[in-house]
Amino acid sequence: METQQTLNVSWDSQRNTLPKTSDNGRESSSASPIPTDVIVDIFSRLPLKSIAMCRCVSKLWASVLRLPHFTELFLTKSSSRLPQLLHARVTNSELFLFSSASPHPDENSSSPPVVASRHMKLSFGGFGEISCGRPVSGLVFVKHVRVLDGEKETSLAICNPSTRQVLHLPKVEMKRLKVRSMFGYDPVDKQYKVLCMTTDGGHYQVLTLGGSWRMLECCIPHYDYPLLKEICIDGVLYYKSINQSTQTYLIVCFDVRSENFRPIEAKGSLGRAVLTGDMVNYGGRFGLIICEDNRGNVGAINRRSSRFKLWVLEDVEKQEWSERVFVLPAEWKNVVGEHRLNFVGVASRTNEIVLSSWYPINCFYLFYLDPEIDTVVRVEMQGVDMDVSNYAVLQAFLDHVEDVKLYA
Amino acid sequence: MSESNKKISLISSEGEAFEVSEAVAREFEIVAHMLEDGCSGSSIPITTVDSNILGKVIEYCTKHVEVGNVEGNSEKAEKDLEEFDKRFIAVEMNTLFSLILAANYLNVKGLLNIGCQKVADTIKDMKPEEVRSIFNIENDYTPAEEEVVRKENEWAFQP
Repeated sequence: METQQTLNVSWDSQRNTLPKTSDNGRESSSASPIPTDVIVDIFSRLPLKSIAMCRCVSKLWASVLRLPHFTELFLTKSSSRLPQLLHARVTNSELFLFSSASPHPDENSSSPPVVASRHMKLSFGGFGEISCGRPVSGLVFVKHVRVLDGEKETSLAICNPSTRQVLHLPKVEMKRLKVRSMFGYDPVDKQYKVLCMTTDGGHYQVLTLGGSWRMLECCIPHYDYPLLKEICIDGVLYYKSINQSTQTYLIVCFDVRSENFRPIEAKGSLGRAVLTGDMVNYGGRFGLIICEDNRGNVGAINRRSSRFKLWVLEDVEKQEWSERVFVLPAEWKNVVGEHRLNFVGVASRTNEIVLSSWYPINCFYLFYLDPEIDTVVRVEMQGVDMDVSNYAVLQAFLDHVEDVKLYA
Repeated sequence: MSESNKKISLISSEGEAFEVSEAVAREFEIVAHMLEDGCSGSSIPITTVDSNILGKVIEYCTKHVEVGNVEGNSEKAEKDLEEFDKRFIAVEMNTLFSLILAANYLNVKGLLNIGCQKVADTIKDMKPEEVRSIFNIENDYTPAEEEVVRKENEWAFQP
């Protein structure tokens, strides 16, 4: 209340006094008397909504808000804070994106609900299938496939929940019908790229955001293995595949910057992990996680589950993996109840294993398993539209950061 | 240790001298650099800052040096300093901008930080018209351009 008062007073005295006192070194009366560096510093402390509002103040401010110096500072600050959660609600023609703070579950399992706020709605004409990728350095890759006059039509878009911007990507010209596309980010050159391949492993193309499709050579022809979403960790896109010549399972590492493919063969016990495991980012390293029941069978994640197994790629060059086993705590049964869960990922910093309810009916829950203190905590997510008609599916993603750069 | 007793005069834009201890003067990074570069003169002109603002910046630095010198009971001291900062920065906009400009020029990081945060907190919930008013910014958008930019950022205007 006090600030409000001060403000009102200052507005009145402002109009007459500011130009006089700040004439020092000012070039024009419309320029801000405060140096750009300081303005950038102030902007970097604002929430997304205020940034959008400030774009409307003047052309000068809008141009400062477009400076790479500012957008990079904002992204860095966002990445250094506790990462956010991104939630997607996908129907057959619409995608809704929400974000929320990451919960801090503590040992007692009554963690307060976390409220998500809605960011944007993306509509595609006609009945089809939408898939929403994991957020990659703040941006989300969206695919919409529909059948039009007997022909399959795919449209690709990148959207930024932080600015509400949607970029529709140019159509991929590939002769074959089935095409798989993936999204990655190169933190060195700060470039986003989309990798596209025919599902028979015949053709590869890449697009740098803002550019057009280019053909790529791949020395290890590999089939698509489309069941799971790719994951991008520190400039490398990891995805599951099948080696075309040996018919064995692979993890393909695509270096987003150099555009080189590197296959990792799944040998021994790793084969099972590659076949059934979920891909996770484990403290900046690639990991595969599976759930086992008490007889050691891989299966659905529910109250009867007994342990999680995690394989972590420790060294890409030497293809060295480490293996971890997390026995589920005693209260697991009660906390999970009748829910069927799926892996969301591993929380950066805390290394908690995060899961979500598979078919949320009335409430949307996340489950945080902390292997360090051997606890599992259920957190209710509020604010995400629970209407599951139109075949709506809810998904949660970790490590969402805010990027306020506008893409042309 | 004899150095800490050394006095330095900071001269405002009006020519007024403010005598401070070297420790306080060193809080102004620009002064600290001058001293390190061998500028041994005991009076330093701060030509771009007027007496009113220079006095306030010195008050801020003096408090921070004092608290920094007290040993033990650090939690209470930190809280007191936070309280001091809060009261210190609760000034009208004109003074706030002058303090930020001075802190930026003299390179007093702590003051620049609380000043920028105060402005950010103030404009956070404001409409563009209000922001223009407090920053004294001319709206250089044509009505047509403004309509476009408003449309692009429409979501921010929704409750």
